[in-house]
Amino acid sequence: MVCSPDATPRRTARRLAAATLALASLAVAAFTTGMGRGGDRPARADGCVACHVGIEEIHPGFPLSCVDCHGGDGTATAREAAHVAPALALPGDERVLPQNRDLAWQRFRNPSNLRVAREVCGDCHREAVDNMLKSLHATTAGHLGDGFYEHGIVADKRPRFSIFPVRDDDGVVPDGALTATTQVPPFRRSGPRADIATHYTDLPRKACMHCHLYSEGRAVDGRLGMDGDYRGEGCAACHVTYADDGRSRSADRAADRLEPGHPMQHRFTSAIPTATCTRCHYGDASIGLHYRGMAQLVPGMPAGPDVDGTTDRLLNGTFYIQDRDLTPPDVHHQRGMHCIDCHTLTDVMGDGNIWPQMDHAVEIECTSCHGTFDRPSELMTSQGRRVRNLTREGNAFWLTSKVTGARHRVKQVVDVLDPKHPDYDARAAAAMTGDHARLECYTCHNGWNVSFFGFHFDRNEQFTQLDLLSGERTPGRVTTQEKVFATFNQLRLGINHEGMIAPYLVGFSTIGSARDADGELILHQATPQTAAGLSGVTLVPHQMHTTRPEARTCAECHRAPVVYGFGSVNFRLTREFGFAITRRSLHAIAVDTRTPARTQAIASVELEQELRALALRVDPVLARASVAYVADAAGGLTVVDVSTPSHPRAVRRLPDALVDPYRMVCQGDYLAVADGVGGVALFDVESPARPKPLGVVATTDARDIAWAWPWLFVADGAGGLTTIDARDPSAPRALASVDLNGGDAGQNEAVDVDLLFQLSRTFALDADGRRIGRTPARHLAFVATGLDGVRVVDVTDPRQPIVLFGPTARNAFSFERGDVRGVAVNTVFDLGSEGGGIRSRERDYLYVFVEEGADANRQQRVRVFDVTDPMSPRAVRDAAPRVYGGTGELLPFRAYNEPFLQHFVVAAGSGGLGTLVDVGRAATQGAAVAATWDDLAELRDLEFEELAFDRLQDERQHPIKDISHDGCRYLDRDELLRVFDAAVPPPVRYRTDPYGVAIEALAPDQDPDRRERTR
Amino acid sequence: MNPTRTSARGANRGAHPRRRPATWLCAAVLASAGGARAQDESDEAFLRRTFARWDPNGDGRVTTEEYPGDADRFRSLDRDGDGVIDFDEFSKSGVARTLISAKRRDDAAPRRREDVDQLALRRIEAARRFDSNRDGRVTEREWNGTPQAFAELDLDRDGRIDQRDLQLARRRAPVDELPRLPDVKRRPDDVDQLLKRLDRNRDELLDERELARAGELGEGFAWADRDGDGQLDRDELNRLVSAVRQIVDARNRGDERPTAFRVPFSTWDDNGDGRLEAAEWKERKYLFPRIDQDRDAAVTKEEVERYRRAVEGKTFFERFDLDDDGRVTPTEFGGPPGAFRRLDTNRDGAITRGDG
Repeated sequence: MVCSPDATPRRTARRLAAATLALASLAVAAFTTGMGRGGDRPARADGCVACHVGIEEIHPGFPLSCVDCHGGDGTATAREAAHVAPALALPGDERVLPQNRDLAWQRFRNPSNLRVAREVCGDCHREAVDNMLKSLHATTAGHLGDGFYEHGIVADKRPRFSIFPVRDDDGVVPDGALTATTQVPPFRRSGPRADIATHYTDLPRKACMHCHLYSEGRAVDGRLGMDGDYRGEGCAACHVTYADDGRSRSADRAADRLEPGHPMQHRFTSAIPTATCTRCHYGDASIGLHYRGMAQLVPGMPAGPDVDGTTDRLLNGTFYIQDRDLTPPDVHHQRGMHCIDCHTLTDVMGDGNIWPQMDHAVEIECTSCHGTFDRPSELMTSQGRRVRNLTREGNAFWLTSKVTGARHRVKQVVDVLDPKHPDYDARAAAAMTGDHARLECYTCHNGWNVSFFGFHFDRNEQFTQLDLLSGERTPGRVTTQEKVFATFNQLRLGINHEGMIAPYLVGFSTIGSARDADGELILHQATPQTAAGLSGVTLVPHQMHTTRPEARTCAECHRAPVVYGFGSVNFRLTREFGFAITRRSLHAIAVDTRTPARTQAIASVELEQELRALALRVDPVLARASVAYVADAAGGLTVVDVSTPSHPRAVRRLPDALVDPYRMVCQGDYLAVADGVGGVALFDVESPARPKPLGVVATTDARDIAWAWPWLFVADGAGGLTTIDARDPSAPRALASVDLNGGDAGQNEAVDVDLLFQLSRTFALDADGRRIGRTPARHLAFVATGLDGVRVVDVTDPRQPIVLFGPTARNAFSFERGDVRGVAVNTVFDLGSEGGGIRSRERDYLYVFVEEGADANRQQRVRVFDVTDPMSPRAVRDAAPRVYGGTGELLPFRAYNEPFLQHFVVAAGSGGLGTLVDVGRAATQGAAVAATWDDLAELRDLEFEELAFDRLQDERQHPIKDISHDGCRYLDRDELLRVFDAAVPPPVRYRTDPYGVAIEALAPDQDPDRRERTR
Repeated sequence: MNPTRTSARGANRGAHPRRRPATWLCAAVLASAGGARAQDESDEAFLRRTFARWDPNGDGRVTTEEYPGDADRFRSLDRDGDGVIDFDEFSKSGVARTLISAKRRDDAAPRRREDVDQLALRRIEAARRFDSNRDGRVTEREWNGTPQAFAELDLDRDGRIDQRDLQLARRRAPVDELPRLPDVKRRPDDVDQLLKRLDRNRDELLDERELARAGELGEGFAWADRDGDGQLDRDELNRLVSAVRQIVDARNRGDERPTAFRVPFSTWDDNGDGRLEAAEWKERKYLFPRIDQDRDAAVTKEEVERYRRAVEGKTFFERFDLDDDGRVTPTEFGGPPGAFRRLDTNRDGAITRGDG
């Protein structure tokens, strides 16, 4: 029987019956003489089975002679005569052998090796093998190519690199496909040493050559401890099942059952389980892990059999997170489905075209099985091919697992939207309207999402490493660190190549460091730049494979600027320089992120007036400050060229540009000034040296601003918190002001504000984790309110901000005669306890600068609060280090010192320039002073250069981060404003006091609207 | 601007139906007295001054036109329903009780809030920024802030912010300044020492004449006299001394950059080991850890010279080019390697004037 993909079910059944009959009578003969391939006279193999007694039939239904596939001499009775011996010494490592190396032996060892598959498997399965050789599983084109684009080495978003060159000579090359590829190039020795792109070229051939079909990966024969990695290569990579421990369970008496690296049995299968796919699909974007409810560990995270929320045994050499709250499995996996139950043969083995990236190569869509808003499934993929394991019986749709044979009823979207149907869901019906037809299903239905912000690679020329393609050991050991900013619930959206709104994920886009042969650091966390001049730290559209029926809330798309790439307080890395102003001077500060105590002022420029506020214009690609804007007490605005930090130089002063400046923020081409009683003033700084006044908004007493385009949030002194629509900076307008004191009647004193959009997080509801919920998503403003302490304001709808000040908050934010001058907010992945009693968790923290205590003993402290649940903020014990002489301003400061990301907060002005407080382990170790920078005195303002990983586009919708996939883009201005202006229900409702202050969040069953929507 | 209306379900049905009171109360508070003058007022005087904010014509009756809040709240205050709110009705209301409570809280606070009348005056003076047609007044059409913020400045409720509002604001917030902390050069003695030195009549209190003998510190009498009784008790003295010390200490950490210092090395090096330990250091104490770059609890001549250059040098090269050869090497720089690499743009291992 020929298992042709083109065979119809009826023809196949007839053939099967005939083959079975033939088998019964020919079984013995087949083993001794072979059935032969393609009608050839069968080769004898009675010598083979004399030793390999009990060996399984490799190809059930169409028995093959051993020799027909493996070669050798089937009549020989001695092993040496029967087997094909290697002509060349075996390297014994994981290098990728050349295509033409000792083919006879390659074939003998594994006849499905891609180097010989055409001659062996291809004799019957010609089309499948030909397609396979051009597929992404063989070429790894996208995986290899993206990084070259991101580092500006190639200018084409469809790079033509693969493991081995391949050509498409069939005369049919659709749009977007390639006609040929070349082998991924080796390290560019002649490249500039100070260019990160040069060092990047050493990475693919040393670190990325494990997961493709031309090798068995890391788990070479005999290598112990590679559980989860053992697999075959070529067709056998998928079609032959390996146990996790790589040991044979074959009935073949000659099989070595101790040495790892052998298939479980000598048998092909087309019922390929998920475990086979995840022999490779567990690294990088980690689809295989996520699908199963697992994720890579965060550096330093406790894990193991004694630690809840992690796996109990080593797989791929490590433990994994497996936490039903943090990383619930994809619902399809929960239902017992395997990868190939969705993914078609074409998805996996290719369609005969050379696609440069996965976007075009995968034909299965959610709608293929679940239908669309308007129509049930048509049983077809996006490319018009039949989904063969999907059937329709009346109005019911059934998917039969290719692996288990189980039948799964497939809900249809049209039924979910039909009030008369038992599958109807009112909440879904409210959301799944025509306006949402441009969304991929998994945009709303992605459960959680790691995003490797800060992905870093390191190249060290003190050591050598094997180039896996050339087989030579060359200088430069490369390692990668994916988990720099550990996060599990990020969401970033953009447009994919099909014009659909889809989630974006950090792809293989890295910053990099390099050391020379003497160990000297050549490059430290250098940032790549594409040929288009944009940042190469890219995000690409991605299917997370964490599908959950519980969709994200409306606010996460419609009220969340961070989701569209305008940046957040998180995912920022402090760089080499900061700048500070004292009474009359601007100072350049050399920042040491490795040894913070060595941070020092290095240069200064004296200015004429008494200085008040500072803002840096930072090149978002290289994260280097070019210009500093300095506001003075006389209302002037001075431009200082800081592009050479050792020589800051005043360029120009605009007198009378301002009234009463307190703080400034520079975002993209705009400068926003909290101008006291002068309101909020906006300037166009597209020409950095020539700020142009745009618009001014009247507020009460603007003291500080936070910007989340199109909105500004103002700590407005006696005016409380004021929100502003700044979509058109030349015509900004106030939206609302909220009294932060409600019924307490005290005069407001809002002096500092920071923002955080809390995306929803998954959590399990019952002991089995079967019902997964989501925490609310909301946009929060944290306000320092002087004598009144701290206020948290839900600003999800900027037109209706709601103060959250229930009993818990009142209690938490009470200080002894406190005067709160500054706040900063930060998200940290807290590592759990060694014994597992305390789980590792992602938490949001608020840092508060407070002056407190009796009159005779006023003290300044930085206090830390867990605000993960903003209705119930909780003071962190032992997290109140004392500082001296601070201005009140708090700045986050983050340093990546491999393998850990260190979180600090700087109390500006304390001790002189500032005091660095370590808050990285606040939950378990409190907070403590790490360094005091006592350069300077009378500090007025301070700002550091930062690389903002999640700023994808600026406030003019100019891209900052490139996208390495063709046809993809960010949402444009019109699209964004349509999204933000859409009317959506609030994500959470509150019980409020008579003054509108929220004292309690309503549970979903208390929310009358939610009850109605989910009846 | 008309905010986008959500459906009926979209409105915050969890809110109390009378949500507007928050807005009104804010207006009442902003119209109330805050800051310095509140402290020496009786509750009645405070309430009368607050009431006067709503009564620009001073006839003792607040009409619906004069009233800053909404109609519901007006009706709740107008208990006899005669269409005006008089002082008696106001002073007996819950609002008055809330305001008194806030006043008492502020009286006990460690510092004063900004006086609301002073703030209003500054705001009205700055409001000309929004006079887009330069006709000397700001109308609601020109105003792009919240209506509430406009109402706070439109003191005469005529729909414009103009000279008349400015005059009203000046009347409410006289030009005389709030008491301020004195600009003291020397760190003041502690309270016990002050009392011992200055309290002539030994009543454990200092009046203005007694404190004046403390020199510049005496200028802080008005600032410190929170209860306005003409005497400073221990608590009040503590506040004054503590606040002034903070300013002096901050200033004494050095000017923006520390001034020149003298280190006669060999004279101070008692044990002759070529290093100055903390006990041998006789300059300002806070300079020692700054100069001890390698953190070995001792200062060498090289470290002193490096620091001298760093603080006395005006330019980068004056600070770091220790051998004056026009090149700053990593050793001379002594700072973070990452910063050095950034500055060494031609990658020749030294920062020269050609870099940048």
